[in-house]
Amino acid sequence: MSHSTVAALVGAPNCGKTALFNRLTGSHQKVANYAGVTVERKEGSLTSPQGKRIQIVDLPGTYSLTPTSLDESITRRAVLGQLQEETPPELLVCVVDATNLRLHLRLVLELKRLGRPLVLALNMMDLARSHGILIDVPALSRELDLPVVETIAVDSGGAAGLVAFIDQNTPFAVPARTVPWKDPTPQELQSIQLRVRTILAATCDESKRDDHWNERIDRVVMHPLWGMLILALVLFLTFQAVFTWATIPMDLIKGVVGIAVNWVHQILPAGLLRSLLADGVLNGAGSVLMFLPQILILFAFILALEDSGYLPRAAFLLDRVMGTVGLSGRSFIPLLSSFACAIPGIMATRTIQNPRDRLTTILIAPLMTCSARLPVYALLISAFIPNRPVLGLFNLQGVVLFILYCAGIISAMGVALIMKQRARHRYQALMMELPAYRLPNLRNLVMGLVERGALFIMRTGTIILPITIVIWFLSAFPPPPPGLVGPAIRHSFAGMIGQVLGVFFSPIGFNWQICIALIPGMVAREVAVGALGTVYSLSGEGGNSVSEALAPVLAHSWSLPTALALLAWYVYAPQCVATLSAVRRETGSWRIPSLMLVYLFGLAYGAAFITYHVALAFTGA
Amino acid sequence: MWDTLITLTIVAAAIVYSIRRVFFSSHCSGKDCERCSPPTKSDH
Repeated sequence: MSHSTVAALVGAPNCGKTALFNRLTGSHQKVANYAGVTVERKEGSLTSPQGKRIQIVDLPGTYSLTPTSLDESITRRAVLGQLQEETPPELLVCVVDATNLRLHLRLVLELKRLGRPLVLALNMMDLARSHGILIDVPALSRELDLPVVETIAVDSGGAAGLVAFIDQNTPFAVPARTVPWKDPTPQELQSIQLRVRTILAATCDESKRDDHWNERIDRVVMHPLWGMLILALVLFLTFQAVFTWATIPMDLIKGVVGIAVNWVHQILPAGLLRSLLADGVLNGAGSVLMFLPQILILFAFILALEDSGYLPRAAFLLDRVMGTVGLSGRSFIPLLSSFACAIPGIMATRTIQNPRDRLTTILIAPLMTCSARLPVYALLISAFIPNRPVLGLFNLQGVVLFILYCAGIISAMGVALIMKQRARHRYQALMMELPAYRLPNLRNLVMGLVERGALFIMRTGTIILPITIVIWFLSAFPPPPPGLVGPAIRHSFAGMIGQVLGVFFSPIGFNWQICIALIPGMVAREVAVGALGTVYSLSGEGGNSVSEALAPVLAHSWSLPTALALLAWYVYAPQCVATLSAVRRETGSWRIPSLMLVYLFGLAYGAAFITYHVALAFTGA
Repeated sequence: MWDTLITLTIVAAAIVYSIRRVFFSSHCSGKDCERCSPPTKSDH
């Protein structure tokens, strides 16, 4: 087997390491315009033009080799060769943001002290030039006594210089397994910083630097009052768009699923196979698939905000608010990630230094509304909330969706506050580098949406479809007794399970059909929608194409208090199994996931109970 | 008869697949959550 060179990408947060990693290896790891996106090491490989195999390791960002959080300690251990069962890197590629050398050169000087082969990748050189920053690269190389290459990670040929350097210089001297390291003393740190200033004075001309427009935007966006209003408006408009823009593509998908159901009814004789395909596959998985446009619209906004550099500003704005409930702004990015899925959010808590803050953030991350809840919310809202304007400007359905997202956030703050009371928490100020604003890159946006769409469809095919087939089986067997009047599903396995669970859930207004849907919802929340599609299709309450009109079927079958109680349930409902296992992995025991399961279940039941009975009192239903 | 056979085969496959996916797969243990951390072209 031929030898492959192991090169590790090291650098400060948000300097473009993962973008460079993706450029080099052809991977699609998540990148965003803020710090702390990468929290574990990632590995990929490429073959150089000379045919050499290069193994690339992408490490979490760190400002120095003295770690202050879990993700930073991963980087330190990898660089020092202390990670077990891992080949120490033969080459360190220190990636720096060329627009921010003052902050990033300290790490370069620390890495030099290790004595491992090292090359400096001056990334974002295009931005540096456009901001009027002139860097004398040969002089920088001389001053640092290091090879320096220019890179533009977002450009198609932007890593060619780095690949050529590795090609020409391989093989590197095989490093020692581990290298000794002693954290610098305060005096040493001071001298390192002085050395950075001297190097910059000799190599970097910032006299024509022009990025004042960043500051001008920040004066408004970071204003304590205007900033908060802008943040609220951005979030509000996002949820409005989710409902108002998605109508046409959703109708299109509904129409296609409806045609497919009718086609199955035409070509197959009445029997098990026709029921499986029409009631299980199409009405089940099809009713989940139709929410694809809404998910894509939500992610279009999130990806655009990520790429623009706005999100860390939002973290600073919310730092004060979060501080009052015992969290720091550092929790913002993990909590924001949880809006896509709680798992990356829980992993992103590794950037939080204080263990108690980290634990609190892990515990409240599931209260952020993950994208799997969106189909459930959207279904119930479209069934029970009229589609009419509010104040002549907004859509009532969008307003309700916004309220549901807010309910999750407010509840999370409440839980954090309770934990703060128990822990006598001390507020820790947030320190985070603010990236420059930039216009979202259209290519990145489209690529991100294509990936999200493909993943959603793959998830529908690989998780939701098999589970809805299982639900169909449980709902169709055993066959009903001869001469039965009424829906046969009541006598099926699913009907029996639903009626047993109904005893426990009837105080919160849930009928046996909802109870059936709650169980597969533990695997993936959106399966609940598919399960309802199958159950109502087999109940014969929706005709042939429940997927075309599940919302009206629910509106006809449920009372408003029941629907509101189910919405309240889903604001808190215990996380999917995968999230619980991620929490176990991150906390090292089953104690915290068990606590999470119990407290979320309790909150869900309590909220649904209160909602149901208050709504009953108001509607008199 | 044939449609019952096909149906039960599909159901059996779905049950086995779902059990494996939910209980014996680390697909979403955080390392490579398919919804959130897209698969990489590189050699993992």
